[in-house]
Amino acid sequence: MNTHLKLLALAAATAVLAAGAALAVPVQPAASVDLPPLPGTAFARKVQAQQREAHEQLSRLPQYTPAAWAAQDFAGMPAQKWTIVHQDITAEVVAATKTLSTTVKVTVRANKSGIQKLDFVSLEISDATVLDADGNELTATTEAAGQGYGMLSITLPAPLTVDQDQTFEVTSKAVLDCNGDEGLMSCSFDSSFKSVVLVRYYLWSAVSSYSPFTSDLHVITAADEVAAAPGVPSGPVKLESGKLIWSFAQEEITDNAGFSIAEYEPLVVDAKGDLPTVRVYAIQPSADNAQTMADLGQQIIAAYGGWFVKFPWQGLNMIQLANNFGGGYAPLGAAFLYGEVFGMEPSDQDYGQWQSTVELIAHEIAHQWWGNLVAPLGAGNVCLSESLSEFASCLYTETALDNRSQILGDNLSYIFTVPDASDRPMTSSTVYYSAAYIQIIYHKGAVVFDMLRRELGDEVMLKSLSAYAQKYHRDYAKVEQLRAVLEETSGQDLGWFFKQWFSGKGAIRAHLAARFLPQDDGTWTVRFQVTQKAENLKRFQLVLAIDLADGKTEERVVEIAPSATETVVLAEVQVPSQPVRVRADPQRLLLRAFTVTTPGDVNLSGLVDGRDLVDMAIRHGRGVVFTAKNGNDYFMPDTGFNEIYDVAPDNRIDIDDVDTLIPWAGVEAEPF
Amino acid sequence: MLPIPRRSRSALSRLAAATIVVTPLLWSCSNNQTDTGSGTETDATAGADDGSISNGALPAFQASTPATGARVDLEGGWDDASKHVRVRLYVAGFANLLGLAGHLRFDPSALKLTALTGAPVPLGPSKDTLTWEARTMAKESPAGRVLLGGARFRKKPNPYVGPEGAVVDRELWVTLEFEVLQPGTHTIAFDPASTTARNDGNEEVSATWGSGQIVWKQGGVK
Repeated sequence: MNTHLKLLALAAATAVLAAGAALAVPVQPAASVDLPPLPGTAFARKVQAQQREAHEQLSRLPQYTPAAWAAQDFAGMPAQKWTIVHQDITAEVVAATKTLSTTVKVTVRANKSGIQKLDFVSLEISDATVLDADGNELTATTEAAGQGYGMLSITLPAPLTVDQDQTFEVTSKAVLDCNGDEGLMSCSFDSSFKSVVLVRYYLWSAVSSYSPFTSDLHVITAADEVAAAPGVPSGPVKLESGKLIWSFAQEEITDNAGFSIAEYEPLVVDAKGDLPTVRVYAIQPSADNAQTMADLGQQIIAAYGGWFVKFPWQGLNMIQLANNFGGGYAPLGAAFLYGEVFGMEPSDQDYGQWQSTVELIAHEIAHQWWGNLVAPLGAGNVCLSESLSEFASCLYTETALDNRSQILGDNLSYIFTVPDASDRPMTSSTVYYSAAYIQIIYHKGAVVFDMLRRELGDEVMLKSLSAYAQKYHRDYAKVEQLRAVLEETSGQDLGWFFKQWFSGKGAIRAHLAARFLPQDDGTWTVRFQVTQKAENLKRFQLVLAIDLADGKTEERVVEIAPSATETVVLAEVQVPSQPVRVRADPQRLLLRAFTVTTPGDVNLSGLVDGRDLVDMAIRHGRGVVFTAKNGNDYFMPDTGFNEIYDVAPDNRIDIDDVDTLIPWAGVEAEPF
Repeated sequence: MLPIPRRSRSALSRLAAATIVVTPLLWSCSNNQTDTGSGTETDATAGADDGSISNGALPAFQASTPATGARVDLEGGWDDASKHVRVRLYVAGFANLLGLAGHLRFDPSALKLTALTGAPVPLGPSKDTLTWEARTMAKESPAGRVLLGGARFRKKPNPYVGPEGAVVDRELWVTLEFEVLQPGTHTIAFDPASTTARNDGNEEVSATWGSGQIVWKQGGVK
């Protein structure tokens, strides 16, 4: 324990003893820890995957606001002079030189007259040749744009005809830059996998950073290799050279067209009922475990399909990549995942491997709904993709694995690792630039949706998300639109909730006190007090588990709804016999950090006595800061940690807390 | 170590302090001292052992019927050295005890608590103080109610290892000394609603919480 803190705590204890009464000023909670997750844990693996996924987040988000909103099928995008309708892409890589050769037949459509020059963003290509539909070579120039990308400008002999599709064929080569150590590996070449996942090797309109299109992808491989990509596969077709062409049809409008080549042994599990075809692309020895992955994929899809809407695409391709990919990435109709998870089985419980595998896959599959079916409009709405996907994943693990460790870990991560300076509202357009982006969007976001679920009830929550998916399918959405759907479905005004949790920063940070008052009829009143700071007043429903002397437990829910200036809220509940302990939010349903107003009264009995000591013993050793053998401190989302017991605040419950508590024996809650 | 300051002394205790060298009842968590007593406890019916007792029989302590199984026993008697009734609480018969607590009550108009010391309980028979340490809470608040608690803690805890209860055959928990203010029969007992004994699974352990009476049939200590 920090010596300074210890002295402060002991000084506080001494003051109590000297005064012989309760302190009005409670012990303040420990500061957030700016620590990395404990390496080797399931949580650390998850955070690493999320960090890598998040690294790519910004580039995938449309950065504009449509002039005409709420149209279907992405028609809400701003009118552009011309758009890409379809791309037929043939790709071949040479691993030794990391050279990607492509032939892209791009079909464009003019929306306005006078379009005679087409500017595309592409890789920094060389040897570019552009032909029109008749095979005539067109004038094209290329220009480097930095970071491996460039501009391709095609000058047409005559303007495009409005509303008439026209196709050009662009053949080029580019050397890929696969360096990257923060995000998901954009491309990777090793002895097992040749993958091009996040490189935009196709063409996209220079007018917009997001110009989705339907596509057919053809990947050329060696005779002993198999290609995997999003879309409906066909082939292979054998070329005279002995090479193979693998094709993937993407009928949906999207711009995700990554692929990977390896000695995959695909397992295809056919569509059945509402379940789509699931294809698992894994290499040996993981390929032997493909059925486990397929089963898991289908189980997750079945759950989401029941909760949200039926799986919207023709199939899901689960594609194994090298471990250096580091996490998961979910383009439309696929999930690229780092290699290790494909070898996991439900029996792999040591160090939480199966749990973290399910969490990752459930998160990525959730993106088929949240991020692909309904896309967030801009960075300020990224929670509609990542928070909702993490929430869905938490809901799945809670249901399927029968534990809440994922949502609890997310909760603790936000509460204990986000300094005020890094905090942002979830809907802040700059949230991505916060050092705590993962904790705010992934972790807090999931808990916020889970709290909304508690507020509305499971049935209304899922019904609302289903309605939202139906209303905005194949479209962009904003948080306000999700709120409107939720309010319409629930019949509740959720303005306060969205203002508090989406537009506002922070969490519930409250001091708690309780007193037990005997009544003439033999029953008891539990009087409960919640104190918040004026600048961070939060409204919430608080579950109280009240343990009685007879061994029974009574559960009550109290509404904490402070007015704008009300820092102290009182509540009273009746119980049939003498209470001995109150456990506030015992399941940690709330995004909160509680402390006790009466120092040492960790069990909220209104009196510091031996029961507090025994309760402390049960929690002893719990903490969200873990000192590893190397002597370094790390964050660890210990779901058994309860900050109320951290009376000598250092984010762990240790003997210092016990020794701080004991001198407080006999202190009683101030009357209220 | 939880000694409480002695309160204003009675004439008897002042005399005792003047004539008898009292071994301080200091408890250490590290050396596991046990209470060896500071004087001789005397059966009250045996009569006075020095001239300081003015008349009549000495106060005596009568424990409730001894129980078996998991229990907290009260034992005691007149202590010549302190000239008070000394009562000891023993924790015994637990197969898995992580902690226990309770409020010990008495009539403060009849009994005055003059000393209160706690021993670290529960530690278990091996007294493995490299691995374990225990803490005891013992405080009178207000007069007539003694808040007691004892629990054990792993010395090098971490989230991967949970609490572990101790096997407690018999361990001294708390020693109390009373000045008897009035003749009569004065009960010392736990408030039933306040007691708890829990194992390392946070389960309540059924236990017998003993009681006793300080009986002073006649006369007074001047």
